[in-house]
Amino acid sequence: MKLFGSTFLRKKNKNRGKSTEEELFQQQDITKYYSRQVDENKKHLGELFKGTFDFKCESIKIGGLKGYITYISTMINKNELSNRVLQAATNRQTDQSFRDMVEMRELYFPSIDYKVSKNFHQVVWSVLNGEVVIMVDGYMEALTLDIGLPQQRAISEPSTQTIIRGPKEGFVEALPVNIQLVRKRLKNPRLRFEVFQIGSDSKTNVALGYINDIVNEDLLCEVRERINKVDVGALLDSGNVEEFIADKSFTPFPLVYNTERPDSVCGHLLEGKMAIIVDGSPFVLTVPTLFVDFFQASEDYYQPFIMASFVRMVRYSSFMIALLLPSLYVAISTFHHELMPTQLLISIQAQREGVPFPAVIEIMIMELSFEVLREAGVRMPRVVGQTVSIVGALVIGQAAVEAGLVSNVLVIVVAFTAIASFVSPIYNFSIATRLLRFVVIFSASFMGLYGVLLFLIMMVIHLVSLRSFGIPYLAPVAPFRPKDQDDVFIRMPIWKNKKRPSYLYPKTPVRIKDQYKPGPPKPMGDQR
Amino acid sequence: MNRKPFLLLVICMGFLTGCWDRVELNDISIVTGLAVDKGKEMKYKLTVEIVNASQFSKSQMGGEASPAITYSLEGNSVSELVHKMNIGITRRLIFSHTRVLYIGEEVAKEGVLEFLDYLDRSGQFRNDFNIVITQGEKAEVFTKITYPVQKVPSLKMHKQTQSFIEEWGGDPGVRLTDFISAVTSLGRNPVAAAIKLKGDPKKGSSSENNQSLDIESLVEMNGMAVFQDDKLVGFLDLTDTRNYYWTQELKNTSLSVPCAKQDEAKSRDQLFNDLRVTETYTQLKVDLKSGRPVLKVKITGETRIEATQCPDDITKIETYNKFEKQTNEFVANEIQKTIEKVQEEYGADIFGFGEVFNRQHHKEYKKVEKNWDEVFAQAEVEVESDLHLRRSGIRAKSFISEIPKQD
Repeated sequence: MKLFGSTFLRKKNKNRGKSTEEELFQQQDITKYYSRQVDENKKHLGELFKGTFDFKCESIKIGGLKGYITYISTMINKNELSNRVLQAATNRQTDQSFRDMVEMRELYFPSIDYKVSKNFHQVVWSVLNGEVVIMVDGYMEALTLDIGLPQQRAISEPSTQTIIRGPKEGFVEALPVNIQLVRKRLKNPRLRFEVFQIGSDSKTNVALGYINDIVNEDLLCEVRERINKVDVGALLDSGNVEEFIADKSFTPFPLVYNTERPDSVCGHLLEGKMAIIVDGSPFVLTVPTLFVDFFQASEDYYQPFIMASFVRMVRYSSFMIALLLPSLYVAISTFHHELMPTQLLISIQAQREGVPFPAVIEIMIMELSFEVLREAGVRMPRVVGQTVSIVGALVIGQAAVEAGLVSNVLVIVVAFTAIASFVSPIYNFSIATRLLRFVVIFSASFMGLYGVLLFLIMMVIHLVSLRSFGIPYLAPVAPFRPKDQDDVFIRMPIWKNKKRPSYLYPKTPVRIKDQYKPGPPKPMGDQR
Repeated sequence: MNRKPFLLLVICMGFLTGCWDRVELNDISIVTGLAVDKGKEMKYKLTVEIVNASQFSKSQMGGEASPAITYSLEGNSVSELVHKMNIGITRRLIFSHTRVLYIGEEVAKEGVLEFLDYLDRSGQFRNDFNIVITQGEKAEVFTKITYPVQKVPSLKMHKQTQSFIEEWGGDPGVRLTDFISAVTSLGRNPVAAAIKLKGDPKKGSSSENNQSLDIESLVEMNGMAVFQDDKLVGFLDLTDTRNYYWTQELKNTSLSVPCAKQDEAKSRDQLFNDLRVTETYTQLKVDLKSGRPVLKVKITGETRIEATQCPDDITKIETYNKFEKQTNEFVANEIQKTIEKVQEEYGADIFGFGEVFNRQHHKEYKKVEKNWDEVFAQAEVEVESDLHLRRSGIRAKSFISEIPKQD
């Protein structure tokens, strides 16, 4: 199946990442090859890490041979080092000789995860990665032991995507922990994680996870290719990857989904999507991403489907409210007075009596001050939190109304809009509404409802033009796919949801084959 | 694709069209009522009733200002007057919330088409305002009578009409388009609601009127006005109005049907069944009987006993049948009387029998189309009522039948 035309046919130099690595080492004038003389290696390392207080290269005797044990002391777990590595290496009564590093490891450190490094830069790499490298005189390779990282942040509840019912674990910064969180939920041998090193300075590990017998091959190639293309100095958060791999940057809508929740990632993997986990970021990306993804919370699948469907409708309507309510207020109160019921018009007019600004200025003042409040609320130290909320509520809310600067009804409009904009389960989707809200207010202020409509038309045109990894952004709705509607606006019961979304072209389109509908057992003798 | 021209077009779309009809709420006055009278020197005297919105704000309450302001001007056309109102009024007027159009009796007698054209044409007016003909006083007086609950006179009038139609049906429920289509149709003559003033108009125009329990001056529904083409020819009282509306689109009403055979006794000595009529539906038909049209009205619907003054035992099916028969006779008689009254007094087909005739017997109607009103006035009327008595409230036997007899 050929989906996306020529983009998939472009073959890329897969070694690009590695070649830049080598270039880097050459620039720094480091010998490329690991030497048989272990002292030479030590000298090189010492030069490279000169002035680094936590770089350790201590001499050790293994099997009667001279060796060095090298690590960065702040990057490793010291208990593990002394208990498992140093003791094992020194407590041996009889020194046994070994043929190569693999055998050495079998003899001395059978319980530790290992790697054999043949290149000098691999050694450097491992040291920087928080591994312990053992170099033994006379061997062409070094043994790298992974003894685990020092203390990490504990797994805690996700702070941005909270939930009432469902698993409370959230991703943390450490990549292995994150992978573990996914793996323990999907015990499937075909769940694969490929690792990429990205960032010429940061050398960040990026894992691409997918379930091999579900994900579409073409899509996988495309994602791999795009991750390989990421060219950046330092990768500090998955947000950086997001910007590089998105199909389009000039759009307010997020084209890559991010989540802190392992269960949500698992759900996406099972649909045939891919997860991109970046070391150091608790936000995991899943691609391809669709517009409707941002209206689905993982809790939807843990609550009764009727309730979940209702809540989903609430989310869609609050998206419209967050986007359009202020502009509708402006449009109707300055252009279309006839659209309001008489009583409402009179009471709004009564409140606006004495307000010196036009409605659009009034609403811009309030919206901007709300944006300022929100930004202050996010950035400020927790300690002064109360100050801002009191000043915000009193000054902006009450005092502004009492001073006659804004009308009461406007405060209601702005407040309701603000609350509605928080309904989206994924925070960065509400950024889109926040931004577009100003555009549509502006448009409504001089064209009325016509302007609002014009804006909506443009927005829809823009939305249908968007693609995420070649999949139309509005996928199950436009292009309309009747068979995929069971998890879009409403959520059908789980036992009904047997098919994976077809717009992702999964290799195995069916989740479960046999038909099962919950219910009491049929009475005995009923032959139907 | 080169997008620049497209973007340019979009930008033009914004800046070339915008703002022309933009008006802030602070710069408008909401007109809720219009009154048209004959002018002293010029053709019309137009009165606008404007809401004083600040009186409806919770925070700025306490002022003694009036809930509405009226202002009158004389001129030769309503449309000109509408735009000249700023002679005395500060803000731009918007008419989309006009609730009632009061037409003075004198103007109505001379014909209303000349200014209705403006209301129909301008697009500023909605179709959902009431058209009322004022009896007794000039129309402008009615825009100045306050009421404690709905302080704006026209809003009170509008609400009152709506409630009245739903509860009892003593208002023809005429809207602008109904009126205009009735004027333009040969087989139907227009009607409009009629109102009158109870009490002193001077006292009603100050908000002190709202402070006494017994309101000193009050606007009352008073049946309806009958038009011949666009000219007022007379009025019908409330019961006749209800009966008229019954032939049109009445849904609910109440009846007091005498239990005993109607005789010459005075109604205050009689006993009555109080019936609530619901979900009634009326069919108009015109049949030909030896070449002459016979006007047929068929009423169907449901009734329930709301109260009874009669000693009959309503636990029995015979009583139900008897009451049902009495009710149907009573209703048929009532409506028959109203239609005959209109035939005799005004000779104007306000019921729309002509339209029905046209639909049913197009060829015959075409022959008499020109003088349909005369044909209507002489036509035979047959009213058939088929109301069913269904329920009797939450009691079966009335306690009246259980009171021990004195003698």
